[in-house]
Amino acid sequence: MRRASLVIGTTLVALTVLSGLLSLVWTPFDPVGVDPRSALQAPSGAHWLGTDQLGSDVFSRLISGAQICLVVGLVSVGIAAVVGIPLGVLSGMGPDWLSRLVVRVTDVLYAFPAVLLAILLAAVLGGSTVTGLVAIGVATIPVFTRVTRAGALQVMSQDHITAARVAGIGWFTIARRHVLPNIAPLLGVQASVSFAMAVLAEAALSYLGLGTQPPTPTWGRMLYDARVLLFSHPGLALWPAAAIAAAVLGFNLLGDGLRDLLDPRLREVR
Amino acid sequence: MLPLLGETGRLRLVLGRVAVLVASLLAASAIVFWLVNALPGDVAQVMLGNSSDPASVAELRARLGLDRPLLVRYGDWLAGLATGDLGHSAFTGEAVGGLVARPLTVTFWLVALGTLGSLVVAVPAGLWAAHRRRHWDGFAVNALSQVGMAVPAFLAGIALVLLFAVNLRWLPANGYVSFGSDPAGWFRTMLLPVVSISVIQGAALTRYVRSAFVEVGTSDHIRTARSIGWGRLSALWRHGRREASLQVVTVLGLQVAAGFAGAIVVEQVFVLPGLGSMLMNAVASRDLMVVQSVVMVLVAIVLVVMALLDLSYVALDPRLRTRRDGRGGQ
Repeated sequence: MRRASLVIGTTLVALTVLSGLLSLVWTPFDPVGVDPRSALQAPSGAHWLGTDQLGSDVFSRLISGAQICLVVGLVSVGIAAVVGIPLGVLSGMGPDWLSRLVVRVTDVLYAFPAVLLAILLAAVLGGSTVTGLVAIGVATIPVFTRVTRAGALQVMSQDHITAARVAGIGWFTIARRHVLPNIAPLLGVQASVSFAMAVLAEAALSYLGLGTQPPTPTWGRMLYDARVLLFSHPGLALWPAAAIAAAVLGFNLLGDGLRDLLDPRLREVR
Repeated sequence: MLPLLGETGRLRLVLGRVAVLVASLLAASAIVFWLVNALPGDVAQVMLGNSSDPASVAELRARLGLDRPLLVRYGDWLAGLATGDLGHSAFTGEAVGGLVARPLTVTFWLVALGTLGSLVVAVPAGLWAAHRRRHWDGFAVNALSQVGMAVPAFLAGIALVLLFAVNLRWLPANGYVSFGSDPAGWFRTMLLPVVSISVIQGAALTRYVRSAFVEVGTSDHIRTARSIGWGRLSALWRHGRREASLQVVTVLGLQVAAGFAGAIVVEQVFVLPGLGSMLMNAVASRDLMVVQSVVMVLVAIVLVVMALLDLSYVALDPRLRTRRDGRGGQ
């Protein structure tokens, strides 16, 4: 059962990554090409998944949509890790007052979901891919801080850390040599789960028009465009919906699988 | 182990949490204000368009008070917030406080009923998944919650519209009727949005409830209860739910925050006139005062709910009660 999450997760993630890479070099049609004469065609040999109301090829748009999804996921998780992990280490290893302060600050950040941050940014700067990934990245910082802090606190309570401190080793070296390597598996799992959340948030933002702007194909935008045709062409909503669900499920399951694989101590008591 | 608290200790706990809440609200207001006002982008320029002459832009800046120092404007806004004055729309000049009232009730009920619904879904589902975790049905509940987490709330909304509005024609696909004018109509228009939030939030919450009950299930007092003849499920529920609820309450605050985020999107799917729709309109017209005050209202609600949930520990955890209650002593 545990293996199953890892296998299914890896497969779905690989499928998403491969679609994104494939679309960089090849798509059956131009994903942003418009051809009103061939609008709303049913799936056929030429258009494998049919065409949308502008006559764009749904399959081409679908695999190109993986690009934005992966870029936003990678960059936003990167932002969250680069800011969140040092903060977490600081609060896990630092003096009590600093630790409390960091916890309070992250608690405040928790009250700002990605959608709210994106609304604030888009009100001033307008919606764009950058707006989306900054909003999602900042909204993901507190999760990384919390996980890192919990891990660091646990490591710091162990005997070999006490020995290192008695031996006069500086805190930076302890963080680099002992704390970070010990919590790396934990952070890897968190990165995978946060990636899944980022894909969900990106879909919501591009649905709302706060993220990546048309004509760049995104799954959220495809859903938005399919909304008005729900009655006559429900299939148009089905494909982007399936793509979002597959990517999110993939990264979530990969996280679960990695958790079991990398750190047996984290396994559920059976 | 938490220390046992006396009457003064409990009062200090409450006051301390209120102080943290006030500090958090201040920090949140600074974040909101800074993001909206310190980023490049001139509101007056945007409102008048790029071709407008500099004199009229300067005039509008003066009229909106944008020519004053940032700190003074922040102070004014903060003082206004403290007295319930949320500023004025840059376009219509209407008070944001007045504009917010009606959409707030729509969003409030959406999130409140959605969160309640997610508990109704998650507590039985999570308990069952923990109870039957070595069986196919427990695994199925777990797998289902995993799939539910992979679906954005607006997607659930679209699916519900397809099923109940397009195919079965039982419920309206969108629109809103106020409770005052037509309670039955209000219920019919709110049902699908509330269900889509409940199902998606419930899926995530199910996993927390499950792991909480799994953990509780391994503790000694549950084993004791089992050994004196309690069934596994009833032992978990009767003797484990208080302990499990402590863990669930921890994530409930985040669930409410996620609920507001979800509501903003779900309102767009169902065309509900809530705060989300108001925000999206304000973003489209770059009405910054409306954006900053409405976001602040949402964040403040989340922070207050988080504080209340923290304080509810006192009620849930007998170790935090006073000795005089005659229940917490050891």
